[in-house]
This record gives sequence, C-alpha cells and structure tokens, in this order.
Amino acid sequence: MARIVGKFKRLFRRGEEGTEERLPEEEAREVREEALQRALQIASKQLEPDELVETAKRDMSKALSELREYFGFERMVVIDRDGKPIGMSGGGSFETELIEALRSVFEAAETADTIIVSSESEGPNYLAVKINDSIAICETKTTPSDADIFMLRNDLSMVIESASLPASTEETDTPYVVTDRQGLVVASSGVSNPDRIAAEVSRLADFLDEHLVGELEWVKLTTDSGETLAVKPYKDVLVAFVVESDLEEVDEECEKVAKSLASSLEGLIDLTAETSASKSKAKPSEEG
Amino acid sequence: MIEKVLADLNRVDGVHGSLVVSSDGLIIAEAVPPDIDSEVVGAIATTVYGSGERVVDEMDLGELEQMLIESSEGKVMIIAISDEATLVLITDPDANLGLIRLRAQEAAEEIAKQL
Repeated sequence: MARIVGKFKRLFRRGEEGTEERLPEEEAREVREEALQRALQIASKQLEPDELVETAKRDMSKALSELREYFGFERMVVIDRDGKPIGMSGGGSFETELIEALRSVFEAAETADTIIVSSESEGPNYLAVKINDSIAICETKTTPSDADIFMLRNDLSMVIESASLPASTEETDTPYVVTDRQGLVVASSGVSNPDRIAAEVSRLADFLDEHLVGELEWVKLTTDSGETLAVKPYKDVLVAFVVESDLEEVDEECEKVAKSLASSLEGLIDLTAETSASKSKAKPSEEG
Repeated sequence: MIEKVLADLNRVDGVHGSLVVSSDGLIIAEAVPPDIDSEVVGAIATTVYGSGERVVDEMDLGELEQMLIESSEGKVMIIAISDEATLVLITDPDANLGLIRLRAQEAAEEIAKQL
C-alpha cells in the first residue's frame, strides 16, 4: 500500500510540476492495476464468496444473516417451491399474505424474476427475487439499486445451491414441530396436525413472554402416558418435540434431544441465536 | 392440613414457595413469601396449564400431569391434583428438579386426599 501511495504522490507531484516530464505509460498502468487490485481485495473482504459458500453448506440461516447484514436488509426469508421457509434471518418470518401475494405474482408472470414493493414515506420496502424454485424475500428501508439486486442474485444463488437439503426433509425418530413466533410451521416430522400445534405453542410462548420475568428457556408438559412435550425457544423459532422418559431423567433427556434435533435441523435454526437465558441466572421472580 | 404439606414442600432445597389453585384460578391454600403475589401467580398458572392441556390434547399425548416452565429468573412447576385443582411451585433457577418433582408429586397426592 505504501508503494501505491508513493507512486500516487509521484504522479501528483509531477502533475504539479507540469506535463513536460510525464511518467512512462507502463508505470502509470502498473499504478492503476495495483490500485484496482487493492480495491478489489478490500471489497472482497466484506463478503468472501468462498467463505459464504462454506457457511451456507453448514448453516443456511447463518449465510443469509451475512447477506442480510451486507446488504443492510431488516429481514430475509427464503422459501421453497411449496412456500415453506428453508432459511431465514432477522426478526422472524414474513406475513403469510405477503408471501402468498409475491408467490402469486411470480406464478402469474412466469418470466419475472424480481419484484420490488415500495412503500411511501418511511414504510418498509420489499424485494423478492426468484432463483430456480426458491424465492428470497427481503425487507429493507432503502430502495435497492440494480447493482444491489444483481449482486444479491449472484450471492443468493451461491447460498441456495450450496445449502444442504432443507431441514424439513430431515428424518428423525423424534416427533417435532418448528414454528416461528407467529405460529407458522417452519418444519415438522411425525406430527399429524403441525399447524394446530404451532398455533398453540406460539400462543403459549407469547403469553409466557408477556407474563414471565426473565427469558423463557423451556416449557415441559408431562402426561400420564409418560411422554413429555418439550418446547425450546430460539431467537426466531420455537422447537417443540416429544420425549419419552422417566420423571427423574426427563430434563436430561430433553437437553440431549434438543441438541440432537438442533444439529439435524442445522440450516433452519441458527444455534448462535439461542436465547441467552441460560447464561444469566438470577433470583426467582414473582411469576417464576 | 394442606398448609402443612405446602410448608414441608417449601423446605425442599430450591423451593421458594407453593400454593394450591382451583381450576378457575382461585387460591385454595398458599405458603409463599411476601414478595410473591399469589393471586397473580395462581391466575397465570391456571391459564398456562389450560393452554398446556390443549397442546398435549392436540398431540394425543394423554392427560397432562405436570407442567414445568423454566426461565432465566426461576422455574414454575404446576402439578395436577385433581380435575379441580393444581399444585404450583416456584423454585430457584438452579434448583434440583429431579428431587423437587418427586416431592411435589407426593405432596399433590397428599393434598388430593385432603381436598
């Protein structure tokens, strides 16, 4: 870098001195190339494609979070051809009506691959891009430029292609439902009525969030059949699953199953987004 | 005496207070320290237990017997005594749940006889 600055200084000095003694063309080209290379190096550090691909392979939501931060979006969700979220980042999922409306437009206008929904005043704008069978929906406060859309499309293609199989297709023996905070099913397995469960569980968590002092860590419902329905909140989602265990060992079993499920649901749940409740223990509250 | 059962239960390490609540949220008996508003706890416990019953019913898991709510600030355990009443325990965040579960179950059986 010092070399580049030195050469620029020489260029400026010579410019001041007049144009009689010009730098040789070769040297000027070399300066330009070095400057360009340096600029590219700096730019590539902000969003390294190889690293993004590696992240997406391990955890799609984490890769989306990097994209969201890079492009300055508020929220982001990627849905598959059936409208099921396969990755999300930011404050929760989008309204079902909005997702359905955008899907309908893409379906009706077959050749369309980008939709921009602009709001007047300070309302949020939405950008939806179609990549193969997936649709990425982004909420943003600014109006995305053509360059932003072009770059986003490239990066999203990489992320979607690199991401492992959607977690909703993961097979596991443990019946579970993953729901967002609005009660929309993100993924489920072995449960016959996931929509109803998602609605009840999210309503219960909402009520507890409102009335409980401290962060909710677990809800465990044990029945006379010896089964326990455990609900574990993460930042954007709630994971509800069933374990069979004796009362003495049920807490340990829940921890074990939660870890195993989280690992198999990688890509859908950002493990770093787990509530920080377990880190801050304090005295009991009125409501517990 | 239900109060005696609750007082004994409160002696278990980590238990901060306990109460018996009717299915409509009214306090039947209580042994809680003054910093706990038993009426608020009773009403909330009844509501969440009802919600828990609906969830396990949806999943066809049987009758709800125990509900444990864990937060960073403490834990609340709700145990069915009968169709008309539940036992509610408030514990420290790092309480030994295994022992408390067992003692609470015994207490619930004892209270059921007295109701």
